[in-house]
Amino acid sequence: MSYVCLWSPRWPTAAAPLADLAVLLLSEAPRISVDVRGLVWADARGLPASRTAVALCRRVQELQEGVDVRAGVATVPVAAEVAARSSESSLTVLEPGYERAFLAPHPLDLLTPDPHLLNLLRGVGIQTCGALSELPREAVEVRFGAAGSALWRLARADDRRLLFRPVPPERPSAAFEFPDYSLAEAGRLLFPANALLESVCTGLRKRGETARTLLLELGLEGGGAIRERVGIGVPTAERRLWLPRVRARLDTLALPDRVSGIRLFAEETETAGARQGDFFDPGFASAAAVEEALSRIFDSQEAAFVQPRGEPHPLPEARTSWVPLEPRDVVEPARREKGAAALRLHLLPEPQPLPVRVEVRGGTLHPRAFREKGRWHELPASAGPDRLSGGHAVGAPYAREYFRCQTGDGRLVWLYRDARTDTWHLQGWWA
Amino acid sequence: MATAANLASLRNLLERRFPDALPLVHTTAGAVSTGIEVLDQALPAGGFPRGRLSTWSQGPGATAFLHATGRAVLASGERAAWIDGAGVASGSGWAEGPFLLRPREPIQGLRWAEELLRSSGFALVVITGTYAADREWVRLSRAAREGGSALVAVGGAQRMAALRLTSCIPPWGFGWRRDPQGEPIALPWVTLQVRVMGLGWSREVEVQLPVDDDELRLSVEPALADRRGATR
Repeated sequence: MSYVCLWSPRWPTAAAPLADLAVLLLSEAPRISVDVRGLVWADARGLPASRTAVALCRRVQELQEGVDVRAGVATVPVAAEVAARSSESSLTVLEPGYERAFLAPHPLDLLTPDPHLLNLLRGVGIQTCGALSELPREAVEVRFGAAGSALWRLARADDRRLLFRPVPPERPSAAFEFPDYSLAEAGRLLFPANALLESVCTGLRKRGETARTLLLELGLEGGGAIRERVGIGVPTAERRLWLPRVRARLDTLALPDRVSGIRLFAEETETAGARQGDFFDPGFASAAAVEEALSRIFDSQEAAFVQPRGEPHPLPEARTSWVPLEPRDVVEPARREKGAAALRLHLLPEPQPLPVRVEVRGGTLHPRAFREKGRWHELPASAGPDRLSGGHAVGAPYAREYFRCQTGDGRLVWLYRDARTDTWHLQGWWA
Repeated sequence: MATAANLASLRNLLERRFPDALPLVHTTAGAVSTGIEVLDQALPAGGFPRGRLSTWSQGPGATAFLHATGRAVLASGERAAWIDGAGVASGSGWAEGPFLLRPREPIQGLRWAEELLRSSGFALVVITGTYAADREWVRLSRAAREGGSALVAVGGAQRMAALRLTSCIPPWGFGWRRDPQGEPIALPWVTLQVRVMGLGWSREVEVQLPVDDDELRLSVEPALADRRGATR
């Protein structure tokens, strides 16, 4: 659990020139970062720190001949930094637990505080890390503010800097190599693919994740590889749901060369939804079965489940758009309130032109009958007109007169007359 | 009696021996209530039978009652799906109703219905605007029986149905509100006659329903016709 800090009095105090050097040091340590103050940091956690530091120093000297590089090794970054910058020897290794004692005799300016704060501290006779760390935190905070408090923590070897971001855990993957033979038919890869799927799905479940896409990589005997993405509508970690999709992909795959290995890994993953189970909740009890059914439905059409969204369009047929529903909303539905029944309006996707007989009532043209599927339907009553006109906002002029009409066979239909063309249309009906 | 006792003991034995082999929905589950008391009373066992195909002839009322049934199913914690084969569902009211599926082709709607029915996860599946041959309805009926869902087809499949419903608005059932000259100006409600027929079952009820004005009224004043805009 150690950090290695490299510093040289001949290095410039700018990060950019050191960035090239840092890239080359990656051969000695897995993670390297560069500080704007001319420090190079290496993450030696899990590595033999002293050997890593020596290797890093040797590598720097190879790359920059004659440079005087010094390394500090400690479990606390600030201690490693002070060790590198203050020591005369090329390598200083601090034993864990002795960082504060090591820092105590060193001057405060090694912690690179704000110059104004450093002057204030010197003004009251505080010169070293030990002198500052012995003071109570409250006293430092009251007199020197937040910056003073932060410096006080550093002086006590309490360094909360995050030099290296946490490494995200590797995505579940599994691979199988054929050292002694190779396969010419993709279909014969199904058996190893099935075994790999089991491993990947188990890995996903352990991490509480589901996969939306798997990447299937087939290593070719002559070199190179084929990469195929296999997707699923509803993210899942169930092998039995993935297997038919992997099989379908392998069945249609044309191989340019014999295959010598297969690798499968979860490419796009999501956190699996989890909620408190209730076996008396029928929706929860059947969630797994529904998930399986939905995965097949979403495979056939992505936007299968939809919900309406109102649009500010003036024409009724364009006032509702449909937004795809997430599979999770169907698998785990929110309980809804009961609603009262009401006759609901149905709209044709496109208004249907039809012949209409008209009469004049109260100085207005009213529909008296309309012809549909070869039959005339009488309209004993009609309410209207509701007029709608405009067009500048939508780019095409329109002028419509709407009528709600009772038909002789007991239906309620919505007709309109296009006032621009004097034609009649069926817009919809109530059912 | 002896046969029934043997059947019960066989079921118990199977449940103990093969707990995973139990169907998700037992036949003891109640019918799917419509949430409308007067209609439930007209239906055998107080709702749409699970595991069976019911049909509702096309006409006024079918969507209204089945939409309300879907909402009642969701309120009970189960799922309800509505396959809109013709793509005519409209309005914001569907956000609160059963899960709406809009297939690009009618045949896809039938496939989805089979998937949903077999999953056992949907108490109610409604199919509208999809015309299928008898053998397809037989297939869907079997899927409904396997999954224990109530399947309702709006229009068609009359011969295959265990329960057939029709609804209409009689001439006196239109509750027009009229102006002083007697001209209709608004339709706030209608009275529907609903007839339920099945093997050894025939009931008829009348239900008054409001007419949904969602996205309908274009006029500023709901009681008056809109005289704006169009030229005569």
